[in-house]
Amino acid sequence: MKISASKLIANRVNAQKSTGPRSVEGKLASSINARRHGLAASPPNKLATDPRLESLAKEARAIGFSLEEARQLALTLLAARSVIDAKHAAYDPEPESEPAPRKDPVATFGQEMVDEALELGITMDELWDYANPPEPTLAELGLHEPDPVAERIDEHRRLMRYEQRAVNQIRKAASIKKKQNEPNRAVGRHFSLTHDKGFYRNFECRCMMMRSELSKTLFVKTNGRKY
Amino acid sequence: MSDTNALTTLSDAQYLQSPEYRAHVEGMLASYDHPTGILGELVSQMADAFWWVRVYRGEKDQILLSAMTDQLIRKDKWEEETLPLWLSLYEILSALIGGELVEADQEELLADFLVAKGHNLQSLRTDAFRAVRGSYETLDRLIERQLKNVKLLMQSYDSVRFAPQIHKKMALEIEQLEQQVKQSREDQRLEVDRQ
Repeated sequence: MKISASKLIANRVNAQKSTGPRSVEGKLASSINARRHGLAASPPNKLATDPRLESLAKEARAIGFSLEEARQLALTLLAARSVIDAKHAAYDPEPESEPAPRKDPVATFGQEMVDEALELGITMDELWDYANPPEPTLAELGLHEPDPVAERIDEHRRLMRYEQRAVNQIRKAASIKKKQNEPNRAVGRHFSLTHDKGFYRNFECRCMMMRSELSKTLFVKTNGRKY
Repeated sequence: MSDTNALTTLSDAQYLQSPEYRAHVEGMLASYDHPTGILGELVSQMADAFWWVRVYRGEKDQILLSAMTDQLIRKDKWEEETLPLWLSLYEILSALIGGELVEADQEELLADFLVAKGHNLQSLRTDAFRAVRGSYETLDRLIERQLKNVKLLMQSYDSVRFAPQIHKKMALEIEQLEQQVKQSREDQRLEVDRQ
């Protein structure tokens, strides 16, 4: 929300007088003042309780991902979407703030002074103008005009590392992983196509059995000769 | 599920209601044969990355034109005279750089300002570019990031798209190996019997 230049300066001057929060509630509240979009929060608690997570994870499970991997894929998709939301929010036009109501001369100067001014021939319109002087411009105050383009580019630059992390995590979660400590290269190639650890172990055992059976057969067929 | 539903799967944010954005994402979904669910979301995110590439390119043009105009006349938001003039010059420069025709009086106005500042169009552009080089570099990095995002999202799309087929292929391979073992056992038994 935009504020006027004079109000901005007044706020800064007043802030110099502040000694900060004193109560526990105040300290807790001010501890999250710097939070902008919540994308840097380490545990994605908000995403974990998102109702959309379940349906996505279910779909991922249906196409062959393990339970853990399906959940991870769904979480990363939601995280990336929240980064996209934050990027668009940076480009949304800010709503114009409501103009402040005009100050009443009587409330500003007091009834006595107003009466005196009227007696001296100052009109009521002029008193209203005195009570509500025009806002000084930023140039008059020696401040730079804010550049909205530069501000939103800068906001996106700050969000860049979050989107990089989110997209890399999607890629990692969606990829068909290669298992470590493969007993056999050829067998490992097959294992890399699977997602389930249980399935992997089972498949490994079955392959070893099959290899053993085949070698026995070959031994019998060739009367012990090796080729 | 229609594209409209696919679009609102993961977010109810305001930007999804923008007609231009919707048309862009729906166009991309249509080119991928209207995927839904996880695939739909991946394509939507790809479309979003392309959307930002377009926006950033627009921003690059805008900040350069703005800086070129700033070189000619100082913009003051509160001055009634300079602001319309600034806007006119911006429009003229925008038209000229975009290859559009400008009217003779507009061209004359621009020429007056260029002469007064000792510039031609090329030198003005060079000076303006020097002034906005920092923002330009940031925008180039942002564009590069979007292109990397698209690449990674496409790879993710392929992984998810072909995951069921890979699992099916795996099941068939296992079945084939089992058949092979069964056959070899049978052969072994026959061989032993024969001997």
